[in-house]
Amino acid sequence: MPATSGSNLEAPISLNRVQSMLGVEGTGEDVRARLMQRIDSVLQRDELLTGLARDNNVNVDSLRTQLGETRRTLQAATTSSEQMARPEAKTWLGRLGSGLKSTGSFLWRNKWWILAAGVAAYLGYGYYQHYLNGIAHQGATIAPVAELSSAAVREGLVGPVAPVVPTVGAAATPDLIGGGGTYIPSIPGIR
Amino acid sequence: MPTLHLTAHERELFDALTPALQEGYDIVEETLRFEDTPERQKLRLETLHLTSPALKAMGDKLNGELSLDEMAAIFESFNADKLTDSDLGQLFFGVGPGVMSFYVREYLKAVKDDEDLMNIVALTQLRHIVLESLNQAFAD
Repeated sequence: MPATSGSNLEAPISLNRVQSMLGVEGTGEDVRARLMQRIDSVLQRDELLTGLARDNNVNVDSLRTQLGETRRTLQAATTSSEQMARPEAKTWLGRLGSGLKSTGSFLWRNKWWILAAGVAAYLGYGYYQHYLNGIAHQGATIAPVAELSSAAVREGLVGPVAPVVPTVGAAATPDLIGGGGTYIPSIPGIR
Repeated sequence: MPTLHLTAHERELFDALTPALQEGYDIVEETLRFEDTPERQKLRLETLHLTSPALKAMGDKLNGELSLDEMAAIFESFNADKLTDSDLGQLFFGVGPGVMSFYVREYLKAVKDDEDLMNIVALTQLRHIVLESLNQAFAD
């Protein structure tokens, strides 16, 4: 089968699938390093990339793009971890960690947003979307989706074509949109 | 003197604070940009290597067909004492600069004292780290 045939990979390719394709097992920062090395090897040698595409019945250009995106994300994660481990950054993290423990503080009231990311790391991105989108769709106390998704654009941190927060733009607690009281609204269940 | 890395829009929010609150901070304009997407955020979340047992336990509790009310109750019961600095740093990387910016913006509107402002200093410093890391990796 020609390497240029095969289906396009659905973006983004999952990290598990990349690991499986490249035969890199395990989790953690050590795996990040090994996976980056392996991706580099594949991307630098056309015959390896072509063979990998053929073995997995995927389009070679699609595979190249997705491996590149994975490689850059792994690099960013590594750099971020290194920078966050520096003494000054640990001071900031300690401060925010304390804020999260301080009942009634802004950070405490809005901790769910950060925690949802942690749970998504275990349960998958779908969970994150389900949770944030569910809240975003609830009632008048929830900021309009368009307003939220454009917030980062207004601040100039992201491009106008790229919503930063998941799908419809994420959610807000009553606290974040100027209400008050509890940190999360009472919402009819979404199942 | 503590340094706030603020976008132009955030600077306007800071300037709206009382003079007494504004005193004692250096302001540096946050000029880094990152074109984020849901796909990139999904990949970032997959790279997290979290070690806090409390997060894992919360994930286990949430692994089922739950209503948002039930999820909310589980989040509310989370004990942040068990969250390590390393995991917190990774979570900020996972949610990315957009969500962090939303926090900064809304927090600036809710500032009551220097304690709040120092938390915003911390948020903007960490956001700068996340932005630098993403910019370096996605530069080409």
